[in-house]
Amino acid sequence: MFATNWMGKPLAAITVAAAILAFASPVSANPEVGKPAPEFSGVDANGKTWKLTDLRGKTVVLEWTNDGCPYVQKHYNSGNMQSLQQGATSDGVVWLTVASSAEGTQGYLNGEKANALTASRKAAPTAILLDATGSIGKAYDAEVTPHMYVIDKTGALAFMGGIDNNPSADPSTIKGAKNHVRAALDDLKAGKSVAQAITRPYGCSIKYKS
Amino acid sequence: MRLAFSIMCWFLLASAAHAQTARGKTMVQVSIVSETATVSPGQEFWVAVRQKIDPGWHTYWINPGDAGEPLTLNWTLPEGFQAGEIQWPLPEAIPVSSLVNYGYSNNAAMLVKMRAPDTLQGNAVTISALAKWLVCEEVCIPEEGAVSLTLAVAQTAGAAMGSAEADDIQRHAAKLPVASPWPAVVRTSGDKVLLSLSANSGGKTARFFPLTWGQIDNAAPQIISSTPQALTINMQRGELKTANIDELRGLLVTGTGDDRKGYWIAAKNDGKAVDPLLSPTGATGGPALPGDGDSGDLGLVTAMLFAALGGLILNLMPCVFPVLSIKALSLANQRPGEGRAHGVAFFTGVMASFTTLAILLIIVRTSGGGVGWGFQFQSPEFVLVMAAIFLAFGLSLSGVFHVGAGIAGTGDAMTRREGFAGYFFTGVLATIAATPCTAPFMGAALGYALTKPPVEMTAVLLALGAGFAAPMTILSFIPKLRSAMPKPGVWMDTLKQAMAFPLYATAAWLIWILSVQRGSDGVLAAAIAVIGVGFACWLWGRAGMTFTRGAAAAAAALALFFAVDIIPPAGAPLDNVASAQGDGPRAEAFSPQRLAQLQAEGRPVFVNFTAAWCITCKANERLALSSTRVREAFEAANVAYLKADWTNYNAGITAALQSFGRAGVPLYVLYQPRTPDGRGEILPQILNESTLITRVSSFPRQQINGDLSHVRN
Repeated sequence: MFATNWMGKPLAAITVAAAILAFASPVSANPEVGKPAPEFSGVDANGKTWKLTDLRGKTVVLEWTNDGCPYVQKHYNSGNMQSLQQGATSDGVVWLTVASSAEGTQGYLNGEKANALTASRKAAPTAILLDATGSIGKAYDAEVTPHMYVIDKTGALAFMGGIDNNPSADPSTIKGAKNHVRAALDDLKAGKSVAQAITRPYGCSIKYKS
Repeated sequence: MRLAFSIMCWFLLASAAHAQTARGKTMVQVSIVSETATVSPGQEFWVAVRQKIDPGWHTYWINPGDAGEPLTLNWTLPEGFQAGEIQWPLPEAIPVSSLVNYGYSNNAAMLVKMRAPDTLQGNAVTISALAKWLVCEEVCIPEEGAVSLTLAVAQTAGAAMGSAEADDIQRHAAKLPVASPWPAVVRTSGDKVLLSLSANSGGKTARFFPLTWGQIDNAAPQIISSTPQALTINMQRGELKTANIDELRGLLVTGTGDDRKGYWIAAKNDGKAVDPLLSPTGATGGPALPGDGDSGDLGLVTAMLFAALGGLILNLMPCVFPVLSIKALSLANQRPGEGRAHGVAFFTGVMASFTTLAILLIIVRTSGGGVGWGFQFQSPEFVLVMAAIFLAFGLSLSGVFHVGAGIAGTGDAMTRREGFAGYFFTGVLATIAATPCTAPFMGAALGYALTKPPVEMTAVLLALGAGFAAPMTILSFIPKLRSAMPKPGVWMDTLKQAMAFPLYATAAWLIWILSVQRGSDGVLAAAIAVIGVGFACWLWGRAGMTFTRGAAAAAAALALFFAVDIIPPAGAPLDNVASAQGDGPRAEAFSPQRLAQLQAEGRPVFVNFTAAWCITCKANERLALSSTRVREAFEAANVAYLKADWTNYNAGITAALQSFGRAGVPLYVLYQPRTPDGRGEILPQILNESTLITRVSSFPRQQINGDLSHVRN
């Protein structure tokens, strides 16, 4: 019969190892600071495909946007977001603005609308990723606009959360607020680990495809 | 007649106090009212800032949850007046796609305590505030409005006004949360947070609203265990996963509807580790399971009996039967003593496996992982190795190669060599093979076991093992039974070869699971493993020399490791939901939020907890859930069909199963219409068409609401 010696040899060991592996690895795909950032592949407003793996060696910022959201408007109407984008990209940072609103919902962008929006609000991202299916947003557990993520040069997630410490829609609150994204980028530039790596995200819930 | 004058003024002013905004129509109308018509020096009194919120829109609690912003009031007060903090009424949890916010709908009254100065003079005072708030439906709008109220000054405090406004304020004040009278402690374990109150508020329904961001995952289900001695709430950690939770502050809301009560909680972490599924109070008797009668508290003895019976039935499952039946036949021509020894070996093997399983479960559970029966099949590596093993068994039965004794029972020396170790490992193997075949009685028993303290859980698992091992063991102990079995002969070889086919079928089924888990790359991995192991078996069968056998074993190991290595990581979600529904009702993917949303819409909901590796589930889906009649019945009653696919690990589904006291699939739950937050009815684990149709047809027919936009969020 097959049972004896056969089971006593390598396959038995593999079976046991696999069983232990199976018990030990209920993995969740949630993004975690310090771990490799979730892989993504997205098409931008001009049809170019962006993959996270292609961006190794560069610091990457992901910014979730919805131009109808008052919290996004707070940061764009005041020029706060644009100056952050300009400062970052001039340091060689790749800044990807992501629009995860489903078609027919507030903040949905196609390529044409995205380019028009960038022009009208004088935004300076490296590209706008069109994510109407929500796959990039879901991979990052992005909840609100603006939800911000910073990925370091090794591809590890270095920061996630709210852009600053004043969770209000009132533009007068930008002044005096601590900008967490700027602080995170400064820390990375100085070769340090990000001091405040997880902050409270605030804003409008993302209008995902249901 | 000053009083009469004041009352008149008050009525006039109160009606004029509605906010005016620059924009015209806002989604929220704010107004302010006072508890008293007059104010006297040193008097304390409530004012209420009321929000009248358009249907479908929401405003926010002090902690808005995943998105949103609470009301702010910027007061302009007469000299010497002081305004207290906003006293927030009890919030609701509002699901918005995959998020949960905390806030209000329809009407909300935020109370603020005012204090007049001791030196108050004059005829009248005006209290005003600029209110700013965010209101969201699908979209969010920041709004603001000015409110103001003029009160006549009286030098002595008047009698309490019996006005409708005063009554209303007092009703709201009586409902404000109070400090919790129960000692509370918080503990964390892995990604779980356990809040426990060492006495019970009495309610079975409870929800904890954290006061600050990051500690608690707002959208994750909260699992409540309630005993007369304790209330425990099992929650998921929020975004700040690595930070210690030294203290957890928030609001506990118990009860439903108008009977809701709120208690402010400030729980310190006592630093003790905790098994998240156990009662942290150490109360005797263990916590009662949440959920209703069906799965309810089985009691240890009943659970053990069910488990033993389930174990017995497992012997007949297609993944186990071929292995054990051949083994049983080989017992037939053994000497009595030998047979008994082999029976003991087999029994020991099974029990050792179940003990190992229990220990592993305890370890995983203590470290905070969510587990359930059959969960090892959520690991594609495990599935792949199992497929390879079943293939090798099949090839052995087909005669491609023989290991050790060759054909069962030929030659005394061989049999003896097979001996104890052989039967022991048959037991181990049979246990591993049996895991996916959840027999009908085992769901409830295992659910009971997995939510119990380690000792009870081990007892139930061992009862299951004993039931499973019983037939073989009994056979080996009763020589008469053995001699009644058919005598060995050529027919046995035929049977053995025939039995290879259920094993091939099992391997094919496992590869199909891989395809569901990891798509075509998973199938490629399986193909590599199958060819490698097939080659190794053939090599082993051809050769008599030791070195060739070594090469065969090496080839098998290499193929397996290579195959396991190319299994892609869990990534892009595969469209499991769409598979094989036939003419049955259309399913959409389950999430706790979607369930809450559908219930809020007043629709009946049917939830199917299933997994690709669960045979019972697949059989039920084929027999009961893919029929046109069921679909028509569902449509007639406007039943929403949610499918909770547990093929891959999913924390939300694991938690939902646990909330029904179950640790595995299948589980079928039917929620009655128009019972928001109502608990579902658990349907039998062996579903049939008529049960489903009868239950669903008993629901009141309802109009499909033409415009659901006000309840969608």
